[in-house]
Amino acid sequence: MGWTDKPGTLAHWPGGLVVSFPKSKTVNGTLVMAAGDINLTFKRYLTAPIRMTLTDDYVTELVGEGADAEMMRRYLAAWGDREAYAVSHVGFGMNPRARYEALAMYDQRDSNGTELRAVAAISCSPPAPMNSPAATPRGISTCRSWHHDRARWHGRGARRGVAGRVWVMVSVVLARSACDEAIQSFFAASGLLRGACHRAALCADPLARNDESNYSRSSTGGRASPKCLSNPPAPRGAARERHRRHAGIIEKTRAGAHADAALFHVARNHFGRTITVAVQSAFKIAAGVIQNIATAQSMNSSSPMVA
Amino acid sequence: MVPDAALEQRVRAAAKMLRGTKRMRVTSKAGTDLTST
Repeated sequence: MGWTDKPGTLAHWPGGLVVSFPKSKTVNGTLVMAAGDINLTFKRYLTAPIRMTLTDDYVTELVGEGADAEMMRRYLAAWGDREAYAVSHVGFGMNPRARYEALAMYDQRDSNGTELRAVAAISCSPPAPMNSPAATPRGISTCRSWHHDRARWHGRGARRGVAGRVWVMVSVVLARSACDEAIQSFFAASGLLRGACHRAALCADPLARNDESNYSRSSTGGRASPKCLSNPPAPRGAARERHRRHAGIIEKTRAGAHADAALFHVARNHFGRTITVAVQSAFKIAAGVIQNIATAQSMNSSSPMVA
Repeated sequence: MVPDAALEQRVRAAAKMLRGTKRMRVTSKAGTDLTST
């Protein structure tokens, strides 16, 4: 959700996402992307509806006319992998500063649509505005639908009347990948998760740069390895202090259950200027460009343009 | 789009709500009717 101020949380830029990872074989029904919804794989606002049938987590039918449906069909089929049709997670965005039209302001290689994932749609009654989409991604093949929908929640939350029925914009991320698996295992949660994350910030994928001008193309060019950055326990003791001195941007994690993943996370930005730097650094680290965390952080401290 | 402290409370509340949720159903006028657990 954009804050990594305690162990067990993940960072996301921009903040304001809540996503869930459904239990296996529990996602069923019909998903209709209407005109105006967004496919963030193609970075397009749809011009014609696409109707998908989901059976036990997989898209089993995809119906629609026009380029949007055709591209989606071809793209998913191109992987030759059934997992390309799988639902990864479902969530919504809550950031009122994120703008729906943002995707139209950038060339395709300049943005990963990150802002769109956090767009808040319609606020609901208390205590939390339940809004738009969440998402993620990068993995093998992703296909994100993003649309205004109504969600009904069942469980304690509903019983409390927190959100018995709310309007949301839902983003369903299709395709399971190493990233998904890592995140899922990280949370080790069954059922609807509970948490928020964003794989654009978690995985080595070109980061959306859509809020500031000091963007270094060289730092995000090309797609790097699809590692995930999961969020580890914060360093303690001397290690913690050392990291703090280095601007609190990136903290290397302890080896643990997920030692084989890219164990870094983006910490809260203390300076109000370098949250992007943190993510760019994370990309480089995930790509194996930066071998030494201390060096990277030192560079960050001296210049936000050099990650 | 720097971090917004005011957003934190709302997002945490939403995450808390999701944790207490066992099933989610999403519907739309466009025809979506999706459930997950």
